Amino acid sequence: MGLTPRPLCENPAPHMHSVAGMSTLPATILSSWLGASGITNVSATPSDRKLVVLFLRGAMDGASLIVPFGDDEYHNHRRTIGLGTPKSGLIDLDGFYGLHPAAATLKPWYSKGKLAAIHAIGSMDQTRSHFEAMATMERGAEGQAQELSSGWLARALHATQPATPSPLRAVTFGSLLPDTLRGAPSPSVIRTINDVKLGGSKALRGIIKQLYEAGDTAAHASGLAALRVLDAMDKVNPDAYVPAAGATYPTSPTGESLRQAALLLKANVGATSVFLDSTGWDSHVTQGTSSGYLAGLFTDLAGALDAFATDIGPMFEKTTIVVMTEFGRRIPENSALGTDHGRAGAWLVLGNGVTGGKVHAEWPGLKTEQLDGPGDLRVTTDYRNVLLEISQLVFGQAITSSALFPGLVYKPSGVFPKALT
Amino acid sequence: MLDRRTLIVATAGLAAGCKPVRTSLDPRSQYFPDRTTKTTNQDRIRAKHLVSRAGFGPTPALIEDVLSLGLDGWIDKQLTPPTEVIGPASYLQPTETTGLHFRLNSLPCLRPGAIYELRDVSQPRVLSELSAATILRSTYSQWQLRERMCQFWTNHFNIYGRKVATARERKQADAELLYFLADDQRTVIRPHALGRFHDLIDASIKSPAMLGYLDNQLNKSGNVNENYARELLELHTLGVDGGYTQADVKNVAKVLSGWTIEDGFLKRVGTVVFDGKNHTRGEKDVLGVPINEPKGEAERDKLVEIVTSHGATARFITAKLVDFFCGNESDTHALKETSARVYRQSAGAIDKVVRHILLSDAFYASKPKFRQPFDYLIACLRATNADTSGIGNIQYQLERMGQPLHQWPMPDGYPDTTTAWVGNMIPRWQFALDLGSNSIQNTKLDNNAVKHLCRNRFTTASDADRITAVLASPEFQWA
Repeated sequence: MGLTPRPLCENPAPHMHSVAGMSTLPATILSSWLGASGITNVSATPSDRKLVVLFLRGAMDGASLIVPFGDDEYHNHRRTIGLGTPKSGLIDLDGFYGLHPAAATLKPWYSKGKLAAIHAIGSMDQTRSHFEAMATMERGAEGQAQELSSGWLARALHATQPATPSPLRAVTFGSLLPDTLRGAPSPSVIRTINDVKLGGSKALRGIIKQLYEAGDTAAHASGLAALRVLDAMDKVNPDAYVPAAGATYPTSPTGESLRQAALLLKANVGATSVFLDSTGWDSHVTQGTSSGYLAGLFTDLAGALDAFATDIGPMFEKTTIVVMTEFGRRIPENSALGTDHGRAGAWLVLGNGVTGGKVHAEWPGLKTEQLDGPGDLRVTTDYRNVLLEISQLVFGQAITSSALFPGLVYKPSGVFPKALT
Repeated sequence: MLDRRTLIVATAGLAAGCKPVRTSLDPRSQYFPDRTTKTTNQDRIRAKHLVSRAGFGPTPALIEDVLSLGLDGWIDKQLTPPTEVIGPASYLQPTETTGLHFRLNSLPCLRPGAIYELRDVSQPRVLSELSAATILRSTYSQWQLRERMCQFWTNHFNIYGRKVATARERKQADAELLYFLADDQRTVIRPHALGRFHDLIDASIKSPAMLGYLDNQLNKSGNVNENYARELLELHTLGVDGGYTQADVKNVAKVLSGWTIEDGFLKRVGTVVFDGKNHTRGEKDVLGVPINEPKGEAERDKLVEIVTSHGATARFITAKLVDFFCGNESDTHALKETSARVYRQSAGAIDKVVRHILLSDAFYASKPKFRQPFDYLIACLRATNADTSGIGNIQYQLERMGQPLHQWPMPDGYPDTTTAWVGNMIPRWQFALDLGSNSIQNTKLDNNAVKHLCRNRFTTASDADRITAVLASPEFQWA
């Protein structure tokens, strides 16, 4: 729900209608939904580049992961749950920002220049509702583009679709298609790689194929894509997978997701983009300090990223990983020793193309008059700039700003300097 | 340019507007062929449509029931099921068939009683029994519409049953949450599913499960916790576009401050109680109405009145119901308007709104609706007249398809769109195969009932493959 009152309307916004009567829409509307200019600019992608998107659901407290200890106000706002300074255990990043000690396994990647943080990043949308913020961010539907119904990654994939796409080109681990991939060319939703198989006879698979070839509903299209996935996965044996270089994944949903992502990327079955979720970040209550609830999540997140980056070995140089969240949390702590919904937060980017070893931020300050609304970090980096740079880096320059994020006035984030040359 | 083929693939997640092609395996035309000539084909089509959406899938007996009572007669009957009488001796009076009654009585966690009594039972078992009850009722209940509405409201007032697992050390109330869920089903969802929306909100706002899930026990004067207040407005009543402001959220939180869950020594642990010293005194303006009662606990009743009688709530709740029954891919604009009017004129009578929707032309004209995994699973069980305990592997199947019960972590509930679910066909096929080949423990199909499923064009395939083919077919994915 936004801070700005919205006009009462009889009906949900058009994007909430899903895509009613999609097939009967005039071609012009269809092409505008697909991002017209992106579609006609299909070009070969930099063939071996990969993208991993990890979405932290529930609004990760950016001020606890990348701590602005150099801002005196921070310590006033977070009297009980503050993380102190490098003297009290915080990992110094640049004299102003510190890394949460529970995320220590990320520090070597930062020091090697392979990992960067982006602070005060977020959406221009004022909402503090998880669901609305996620729906907006995953579609990139800001300002004038609120009616956009497809996901940003879906548009990027469309703009660069190869002639014979792999059924596993875009994969998400989970059970639902995230809005980020809504409208993507046959995205695969996989709960776990072990489920991507079908027992029974060869004859049965043949029957299913016949059935799904005989129609053109969304179920038919999805079924045919699933059959191609089954064929591709016949070559992969997940049970025999051993992570490389001694990488050890945490035994957690995030660790398991990234382990399976590595398995899939390394199996060479055409996977290009992997979308992953991590939940539990909505820390309204007792979020802890250097230990406690959030610390546990940070250890898990950092451990999983460290293992993944290690595991994929040489592929790391061709893979860009972005860790995003729908918004940050309120700067002043609440009475339950947690934090409420805020505005700007912190993201992480690792791997190919990243100007690492740096916290990229135009710091807005934490004095009361510098904060937004009820006490939130102001957004100084529009997340769309970062996602545009990543998309161009991974999928190629054919992706235009106007196709991916209509209405965006692009401003370089400084995180991917080579992306737009 | 995109060619047609690419476009079809491109819109895999989106092109749900297209009609499923009727093949020889169309469940609506083949499973229950006409046996009488007394009714017109049109009546039969409407009856099937009604029981597919207002229930969990057609059976021959159900179709006959609708045809003999007429659409309105059947709907009226379904809207007035016998009250579930709950008492210690027989916790569920036999308002259902003996088979369902017997099965439900084998699930001790459903018995009423103080919440703390459940605490001797392991949490996975409580979750498993709650899920089993839902599977059993949806599959076998003769009061199909009540079960449909329980599904709708359980999702509308979603509570994540496993919050406990991630938060055990954080606070006691979370650790109890799963135990509160059984109580929430029994005292909030089931008795009010077809009643007044006001009473549903009134029950939910007093539910320890909801208060615990959305942290209201931590909502105290001086430092309010907005979590429940926000979701009450955004998800439960007015809807995200309902025109409220951040100030309204804050003030609702103040109204609710002090309501907490009893966990004191020798107290009635798990009951919702009011702690006046944690309540924010003074005037709170909610949606333009001032709330300020000398007895702070009375403010909650006023809040319930304000939010349930709000015009945005009438629109939001009825539009969600229209989408639930008609899908969101059909033209239901006018139906939504008239449904909101029915809500306003009947002071939020859910049964009247549902009746209005189910008798509307727009409902019968609505496009096929993609079955969520739970709906798919139950439809398969019904089509094969399967005998299931609801326990064990059948729940794993649901989880593998992506919809384990009470386990959606966020308060918005499982999405109800084609797009969200259509990308995940493989586990459905595997379930169809497991059921078709009778290899699910505690779940067996009825050899007689499936004979008609074997009558299809795949004559060289085994019976198991032929049954699987029907259940796995694209047509069976739609209701």
